[in-house]
Amino acid sequence: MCPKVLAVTVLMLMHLGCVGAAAQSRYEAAEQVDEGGGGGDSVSPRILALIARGQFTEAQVLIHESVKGGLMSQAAATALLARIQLLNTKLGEIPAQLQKVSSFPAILKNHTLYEIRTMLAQRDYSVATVSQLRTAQKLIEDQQRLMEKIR
Amino acid sequence: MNPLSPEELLARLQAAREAGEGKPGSPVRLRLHRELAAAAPAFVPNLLELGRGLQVAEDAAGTAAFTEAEAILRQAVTVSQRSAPTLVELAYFLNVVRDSPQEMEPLLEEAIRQSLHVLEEAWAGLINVLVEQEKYQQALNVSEKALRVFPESPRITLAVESARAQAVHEGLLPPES
Repeated sequence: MCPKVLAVTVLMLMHLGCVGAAAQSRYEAAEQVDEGGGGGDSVSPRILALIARGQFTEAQVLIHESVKGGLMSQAAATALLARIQLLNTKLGEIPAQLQKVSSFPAILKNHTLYEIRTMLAQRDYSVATVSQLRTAQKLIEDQQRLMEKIR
Repeated sequence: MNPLSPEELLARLQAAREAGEGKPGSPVRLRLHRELAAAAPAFVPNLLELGRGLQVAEDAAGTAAFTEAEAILRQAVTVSQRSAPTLVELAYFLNVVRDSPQEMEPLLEEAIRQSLHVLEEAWAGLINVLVEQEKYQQALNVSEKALRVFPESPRITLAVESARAQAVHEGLLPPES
């Protein structure tokens, strides 16, 4: 992609990223973590903001375009894409064995980690109790750790 | 039975890791990790692999797999004399599987205390060894990070002083900085 088109795409996505910022500010604050080795570039904060608002498709486009345009390393892109994948994971998609924990909140099976984290951040207990939400969050987040190689 | 040699231990661990296409919860992988744990009950890297694998067992063995995982992780903590990596594995298990954050907290605090001690020693040694090899700019960079975490550590502050003194000599730092 030529630099001009890339710049327009980036600007467009930055604009999209501003929508709904106030509503999600508490969630976003909880999402401030490292950028996976892409420190120092200017697009990572924008991408993190999009991810924090659940705008995963826009974030994925921006990540791919940033790598193509040389604005982001492949390592940083991989880390961000993995983050999106985790946030998009539904509780019902974790390994069957982990779904056998005694406190398994089956009511949240069709909800993604993103939705669960948002409910927790907004103290929205209309779907599940706070302890069910917390259990679901740690099960989804930990299943990835369990599947990783031990360092 | 003769004890396994270090080479045999590592070869069997590697074989177990690669079995079942490397998936932690595959039945063949769990079998190999279990057999190795029986032959070498104090070989911690294998216990940690087995402890993790049981939590994501593909044949979904239910609570029995969790009971076995807990016993294996507690064994790892004991035989390693409470090493930080084993404490962290057990802590996550107790929080996620047993839903017991109150048990996780002290285990993680203990792991962090140990890890900080290791980090302090490693940083002090690294600063000194960089100075010894006349890599002064690198020594200054490491010093900055180390001081942020350990501003009052005698070992770190001594190492940093040496690095700064040498850097002043080299003109990398102004005097009295």
